[in-house]
Amino acid sequence: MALMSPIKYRLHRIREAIFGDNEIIYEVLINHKANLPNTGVQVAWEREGNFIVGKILVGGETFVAQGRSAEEFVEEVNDTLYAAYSIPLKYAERLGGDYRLIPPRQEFEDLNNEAIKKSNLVFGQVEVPA
Amino acid sequence: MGEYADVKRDRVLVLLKWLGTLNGFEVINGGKHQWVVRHGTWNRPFPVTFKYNVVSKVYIKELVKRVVATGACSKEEFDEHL
Repeated sequence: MALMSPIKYRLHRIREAIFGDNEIIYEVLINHKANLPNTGVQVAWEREGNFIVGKILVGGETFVAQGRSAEEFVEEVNDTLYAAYSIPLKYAERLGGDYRLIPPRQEFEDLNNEAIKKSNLVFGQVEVPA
Repeated sequence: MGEYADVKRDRVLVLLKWLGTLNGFEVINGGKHQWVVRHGTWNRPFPVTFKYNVVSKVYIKELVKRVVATGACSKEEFDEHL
């Protein structure tokens, strides 16, 4: 697949959603789930102009995410990890989508607080009560 | 490597298209809005967002560090395509 501009990729995604193979193979889903990090994803973030920019430290690797708001930043961290772990979109949506990993409430509030210019936080999966 | 500034998304696309022509590199789309740079010696690919019109300099600093470490190009060659 050739490298696409943002507009072409958006059209490609729409075509895939309508005409593509959307079948989820359970074994593949479980395999992707096992490969993704679930806890301990450290993010060192700071405000740069209109953006929150963060370095994601996971599994000895460093990735980067940026967002205009706390919500968009959390979405970008998750999208970055799906891309870095080569998870196809149809599986990413089944694995928790944009908010599979989220920071604790206080750290999320810090992201929203413009008085705080930089900080570190740890993303993890939400524990669903039994 | 502190001299980089934020870069317009279109310029980053030009850079990544060039990067994809270098030995051992592949650049594809992934996630919802990421360009994904792969190299044979890396454990994991490096995603670069295209969600916004501007890409943070933090991406560029991290990418140049990784690319130069592969030996596929020098920092000066990388900078020429930015």
